Amino acid sequence: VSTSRERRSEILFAVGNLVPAIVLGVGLYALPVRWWPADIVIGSAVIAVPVTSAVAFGRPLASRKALRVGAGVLLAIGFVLLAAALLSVAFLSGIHGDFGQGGMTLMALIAFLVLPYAIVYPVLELRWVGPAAKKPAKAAESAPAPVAAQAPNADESAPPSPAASNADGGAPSKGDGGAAA
Amino acid sequence: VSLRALARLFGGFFAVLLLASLVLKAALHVDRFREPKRSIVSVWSGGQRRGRVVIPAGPDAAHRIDDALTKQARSWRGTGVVEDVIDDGPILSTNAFLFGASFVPARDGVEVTYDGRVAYATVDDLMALKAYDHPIVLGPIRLQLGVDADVVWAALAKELRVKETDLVENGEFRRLAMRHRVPPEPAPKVTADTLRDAAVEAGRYLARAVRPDGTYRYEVNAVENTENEGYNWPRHAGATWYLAESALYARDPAMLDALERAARRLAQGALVNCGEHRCVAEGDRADLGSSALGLLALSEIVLGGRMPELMPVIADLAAFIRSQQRSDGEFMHFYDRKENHPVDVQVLYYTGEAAFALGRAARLTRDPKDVDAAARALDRLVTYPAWYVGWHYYYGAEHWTCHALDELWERAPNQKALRFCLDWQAAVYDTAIWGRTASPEYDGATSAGPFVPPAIVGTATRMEAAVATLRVAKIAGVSRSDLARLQAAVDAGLAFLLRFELNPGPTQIMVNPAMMRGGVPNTPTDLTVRIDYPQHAGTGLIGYLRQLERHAAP
Repeated sequence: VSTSRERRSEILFAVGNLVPAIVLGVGLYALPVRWWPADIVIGSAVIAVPVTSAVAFGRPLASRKALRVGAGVLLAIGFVLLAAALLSVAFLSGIHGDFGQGGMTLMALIAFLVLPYAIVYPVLELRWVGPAAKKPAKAAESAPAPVAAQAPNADESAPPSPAASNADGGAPSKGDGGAAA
Repeated sequence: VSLRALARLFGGFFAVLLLASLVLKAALHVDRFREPKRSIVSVWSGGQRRGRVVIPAGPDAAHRIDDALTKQARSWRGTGVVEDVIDDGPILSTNAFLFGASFVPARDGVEVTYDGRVAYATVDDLMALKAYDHPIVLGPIRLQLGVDADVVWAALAKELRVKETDLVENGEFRRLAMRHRVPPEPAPKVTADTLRDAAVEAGRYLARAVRPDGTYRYEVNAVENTENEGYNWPRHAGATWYLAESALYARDPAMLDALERAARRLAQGALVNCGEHRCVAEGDRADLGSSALGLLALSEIVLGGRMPELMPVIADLAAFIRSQQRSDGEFMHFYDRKENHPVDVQVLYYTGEAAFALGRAARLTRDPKDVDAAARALDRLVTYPAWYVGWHYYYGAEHWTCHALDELWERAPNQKALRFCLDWQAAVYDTAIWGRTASPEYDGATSAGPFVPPAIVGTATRMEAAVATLRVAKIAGVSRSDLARLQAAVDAGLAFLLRFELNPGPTQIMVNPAMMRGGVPNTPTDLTVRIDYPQHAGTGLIGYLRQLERHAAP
């Protein structure tokens, strides 16, 4: 179970997830035309992210998993937006050639408006949440869990042992190897 | 998530994205600086295309082009035009949005191959169809990307005599990078001769637009020579001011005659009572701008030695404008004629127009109150608070402020106003269009967005202010760097205006090019001419011409 300090961080991330969800929701609502692919993809994210936040609020044992899903959804949306922006720039650059400082400034402005919400924030969150645990083997499932566990080092490529994880399957502490309760 | 996993995720994502972007850019790229691949010879008369021949590049191409031009022009008694196809590129989709966005306005044409037959929509065709000037409106968002796909498809389907749906489904479309060979694309230099010709032609356009009753053909579509509805008295007055400037400069009897008609219409037909004074207005609410520009126009005429009978009107209009001024120098921009009181509401332009007009009128009225009112208004315009972003005059289209600076400099010099105009012009220069590969002729123009043609009138208003500021800057002895940047902005901006004035412009696609000569269109692809467009452009052109002439005078 998370320490109270980690729980506070979980709550902060759960609340923080609502900010990009609101931005995306307002942006989707404000779009003057409806285009179903955008409606479905962004609409799903707008629903999914608050749901994961609600889980993180209501079920502390599942909060890491929920936050990981929420951050993953945001990052996926970020990748889609970034890919759309870069491919648009490539398309316009192919058609127009160099389109001058004004165009580059506009594109940079759009990028800097999107990147903090859709790329930087979910990456920080995923980094904090730490890696997902592998599914325990059947035999291990039946074995009693040890009283205390050693925290995994998230920087290691090998995943932590299931027994070292929280009951919800998330990392027991801050991803870089803080002590677990 | 581990750092290594994140790094792998990002590395893979960006590598794929970068590769896709480079492939996409390379696939769509066209080279606009190579030798032509083929030439399209067309003959136009009465604004309609009558004939067309396509000549592939080759050793005898020039001879064949000349031959085709002569034969075609003779048989159709029209104007021969040659457009070179420099390069071509693919069209990725026939989705209307993507198709439309796949062309550079006024630079790219369309080729379609259907059932072994080929049809072209050249730059001239698309200009005549107004296909470049079709904004995509998404609710409050207005995008202008490339061409209107529906218009292009309909025109090409008509050309090939097939159904539009069949053409879109089965046709193979390509983008053509094009350049005019005959007539060659204009690239006028900014000299006293080119400025004089352009400025006088702009005035002649306005003179031709004055009807017998003194009103103007307010807004005309140059392609079809049709008029749009609407009329606006501030613009009537502004146009008359420039008509006065250019007619008095050219001493052209036809222009002077038209000027007197327009001035009489203003002084007799548009003057109404505003309390104890007279003002220019329609209806119960008078706006300050109409009276200010009316005062400016009438003052210009009398200063030029014409129509001295207008003096009482000038004095009365000046008194009305002064009566609208607050103690802090600001003007109340409206007057309620029903209840006989000023309305203390401000909009853009009117305070600058009033300051400029009072300054100009004071040369006739010799009333120090006029100069004082103008100077206080100018000071108010350029005294913005610390939280200046909210100041409604801060770097708006404040060209009238710089006219007022210029007008008053010898009588009430205002250093703060000079700094305001220099800083504004620096911002204009920095945000202008520079270095668009497809359209280098837009250099120095005021941008309307990164992928759309610039607004000519936006550039014109900034240029008239730049020219006014330049005169004062030279007298005031501002720094070399300020002066050099201002001079560069004026040179590039005026060259852009000279390039796109209909002098004569693409006459082949116009129904009545003689009527439109000297007009200044809205944008390079929207050939609509409203009376204030040649006014703004002409004011900058003639202002700089006078500076060059003064400099050249012994």
